[in-house]
Amino acid sequence: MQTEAYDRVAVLGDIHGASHLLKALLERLDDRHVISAGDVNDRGPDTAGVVEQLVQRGATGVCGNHEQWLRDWLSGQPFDRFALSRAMGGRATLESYGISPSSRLGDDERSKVPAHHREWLLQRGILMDLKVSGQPYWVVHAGVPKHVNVRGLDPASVLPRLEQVSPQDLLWPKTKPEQMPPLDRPIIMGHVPQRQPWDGGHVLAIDTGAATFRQGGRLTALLLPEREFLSVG
Amino acid sequence: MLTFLMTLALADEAGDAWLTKVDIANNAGDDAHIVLDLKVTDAKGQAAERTIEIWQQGDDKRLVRFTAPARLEGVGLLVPDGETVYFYLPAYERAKRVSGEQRSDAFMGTDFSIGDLSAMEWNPEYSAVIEQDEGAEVRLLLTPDNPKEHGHASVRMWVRKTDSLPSRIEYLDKDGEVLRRLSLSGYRDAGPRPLAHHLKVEDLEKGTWTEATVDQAEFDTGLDDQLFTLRELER
Repeated sequence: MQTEAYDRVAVLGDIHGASHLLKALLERLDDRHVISAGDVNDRGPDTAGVVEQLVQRGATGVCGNHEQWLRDWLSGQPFDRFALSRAMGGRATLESYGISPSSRLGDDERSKVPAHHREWLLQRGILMDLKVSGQPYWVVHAGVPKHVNVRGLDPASVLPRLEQVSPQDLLWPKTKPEQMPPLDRPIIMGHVPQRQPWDGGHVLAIDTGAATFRQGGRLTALLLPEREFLSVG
Repeated sequence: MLTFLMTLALADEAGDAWLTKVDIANNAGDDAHIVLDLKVTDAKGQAAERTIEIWQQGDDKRLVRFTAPARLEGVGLLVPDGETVYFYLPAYERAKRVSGEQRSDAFMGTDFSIGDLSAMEWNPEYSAVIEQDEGAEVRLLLTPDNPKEHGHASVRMWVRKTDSLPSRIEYLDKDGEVLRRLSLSGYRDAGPRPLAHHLKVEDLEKGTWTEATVDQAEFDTGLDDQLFTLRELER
């Protein structure tokens, strides 16, 4: 688990290769620290441009389900080929690095991803223990899956234990934010695209469909400690 | 700690991940327009033909309408927001909202339920575990979050590993007996994803079945939002 503490941050929702939206959003931010809630890649045309901007900005963050195949592939491990389907949009990620999706996808192709991009992508954890001006938050891409019964559990232990025993549960299941149980602190999540960012008190959902919605997809930042949303698109 | 591990034992990380992939694969593309020719066969073996058209935008808007035979023309379903389902008969003055319990009802004499035709995603309503890895396919067991809203106790689903699309779906009662079976075959590339060109749904209790063949499929044609409104359903 990553533990990070800052005075002011902007947590970004799913970017999905929409480098123009990221550029527009970063231009509107002050010098606060930037954190990604995952899914920086796939679908949109310029994952390479997204990662470059995040690296230049010194951003940190957690990974989402879409980074999973990319991290596996960059590590030389077998990866889920479903990622290259139109539905997942992984082909756009490869093309943004000048890699043909129909190529062998071996070391030659991997070498086209700059080393600093590879390093940034591989450094991302699944769960972040974030403190902003003393207020703790969890940052986790898919939030708390609905099938986990948290009754009787120490609320502070739920996400760290899930990260250990079933990390996929923090990346994939699409549980509606309003179905999630309150834990010991607010959860900041992406993964479930909605037209508007949502602050339900115990959950802050910030995926607003950048490069996912056919029309009207936006990129949202959650500004902390103000607890305000800033969206572009 | 013991409680926590017991709780997690009920969860299956890979099961729900697969279910999410199925939803993503099933809804690939910005929009779709599909024409299905149906052959409905009753328990005596007598068959009747029908045609339905389905329009879908994203993973939260769908309009389903009978276009043949003439007596059923205009009968339709609308899902405007991913959750609410409206049913319309031309004899109605206005479309009626379909309750959760009514979604397991058969749709106009076919073996498709209203839920079969209106639901676009599994993940919001079910949790899944992997029952078996069968090599080319993975077999999932799905449990509904609100069993009262379904006419079945669980669902068994076979998912093709290559593209995360289902090849067979069985709806089970509380004793594990199969109530209905949906078989999907003839997958062919159709724009953003492979599309099953032949579907067969069997009601094993009634001894009836409905076969559906894709007559036409178009994707990403830029369907108008106005198509997914009550006004359009009631037109």
